[in-house]
Amino acid sequence: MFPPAGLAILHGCIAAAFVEGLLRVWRVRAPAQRLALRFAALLAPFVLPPAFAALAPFRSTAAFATDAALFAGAHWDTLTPGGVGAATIATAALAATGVALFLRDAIPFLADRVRGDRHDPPLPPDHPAWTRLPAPPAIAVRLTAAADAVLYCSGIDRPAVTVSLGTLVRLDDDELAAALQHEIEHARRRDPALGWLLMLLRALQAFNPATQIVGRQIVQEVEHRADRAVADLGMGPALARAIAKVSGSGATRSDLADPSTPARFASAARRAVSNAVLARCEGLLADTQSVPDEPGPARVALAALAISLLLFFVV
Amino acid sequence: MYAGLRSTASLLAVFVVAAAVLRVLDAVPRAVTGLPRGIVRVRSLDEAGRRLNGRIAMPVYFPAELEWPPSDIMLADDLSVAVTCRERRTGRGRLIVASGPRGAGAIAAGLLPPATRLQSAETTVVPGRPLTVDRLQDATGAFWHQASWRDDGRLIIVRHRGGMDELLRIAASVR
Repeated sequence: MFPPAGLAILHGCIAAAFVEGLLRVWRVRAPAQRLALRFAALLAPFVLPPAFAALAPFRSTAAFATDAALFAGAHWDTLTPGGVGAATIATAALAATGVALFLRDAIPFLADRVRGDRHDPPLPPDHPAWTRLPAPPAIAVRLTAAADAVLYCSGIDRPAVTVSLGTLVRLDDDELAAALQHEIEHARRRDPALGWLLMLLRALQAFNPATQIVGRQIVQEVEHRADRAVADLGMGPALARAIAKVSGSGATRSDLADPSTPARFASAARRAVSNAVLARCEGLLADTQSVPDEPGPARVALAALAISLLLFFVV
Repeated sequence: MYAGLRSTASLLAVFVVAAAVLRVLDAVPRAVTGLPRGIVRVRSLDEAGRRLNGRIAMPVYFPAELEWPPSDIMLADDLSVAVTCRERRTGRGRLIVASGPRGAGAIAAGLLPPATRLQSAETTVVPGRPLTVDRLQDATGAFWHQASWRDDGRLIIVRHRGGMDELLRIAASVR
């Protein structure tokens, strides 16, 4: 029988690829539905292996692997390059990749939370910069003296937006309003709590590269959802300009810039980040209409059922 | 309703493609190794014993003309095992000892080379161990003798390319 870690990786990879295929074939545009499908892929390796083990223990028998399974990971261990099973080698390599992907995001995530606001003291309420912010604010706002472009939403139970003087200097009034609206959307949806949940799930399967990649994709979908909400208010172009300015301003702490930090990576990675920012801006500029209604929950349920059925025959 | 049908049809298409890809990927090791599905080749009796979590049934009496260690040891998913020993002089397979898991009706398909049964008889070499003895002809036309019996619920088969007396002596010594 294939070891549990290998099976989780296998299920995660297949579920992620299946959902990616569905998103393209169905041309899903509604952010809520895209998120739901991504979550189905993310949760598959957590839920299905123990559920199958409890409800269908016959799946672990040799007869099922030989006669009924679509794919049995253990069959790849019959190939033994260098005396080690190919499945074992692949599991080890993928697990190492998963851990690397997890640490790449977890370390900055935790470092940001640990550092918090210690080096960014808030400005006093009578500082003239406060006049740039909409009043009364729709959400608690914290204004700091940092010269970097800082703009993010944080707080699990009482979300608040942190913005710096550096951001106020870089953005004009329309861009600032759009950027703040983006953060307000995050607060309204409790996205900071979702961020912690995602990081917890990623930690629980740190060895699973599919979990890490899908987790990241969910973060991108969450950002897209907030972008979409701002675009629906007619502030899409202003938000696009704000994203371009914040992303191009070097040192920045904002979800408007790409989560990966380009400064520490090679130029190829920086180009990839630039392309991602460009695509995000173009999406905001081109798509000014609301996303049409798409058949939602039933389609997601059907997709989840299909994934479960497919993975039932993967051991 | 049309959109719903189209969505379902698309989902079905993605499902079928995914299932087909998985099936093809599962067949790759079989294609490379030439072994049937569910059968693996291991390098030693020790490794086979570890995987089976027990001792492999092997004869104590071992003809001098046979090579040791065995040339081929195969395990099936159902824990059947087949051990092949070659003749030292010719290099051809001469002795196959196979055993199945407790309670199984037969040795896993693919472990024993296909052969046509020509004759069959019952005999008892060791008291309390009734044997079925067969004369077989394999796909190359070579003749084999085969003894099979049940020991503690396990089916054990000894197939030997030689005389009946030698076969019965080997079979009687299997532990």
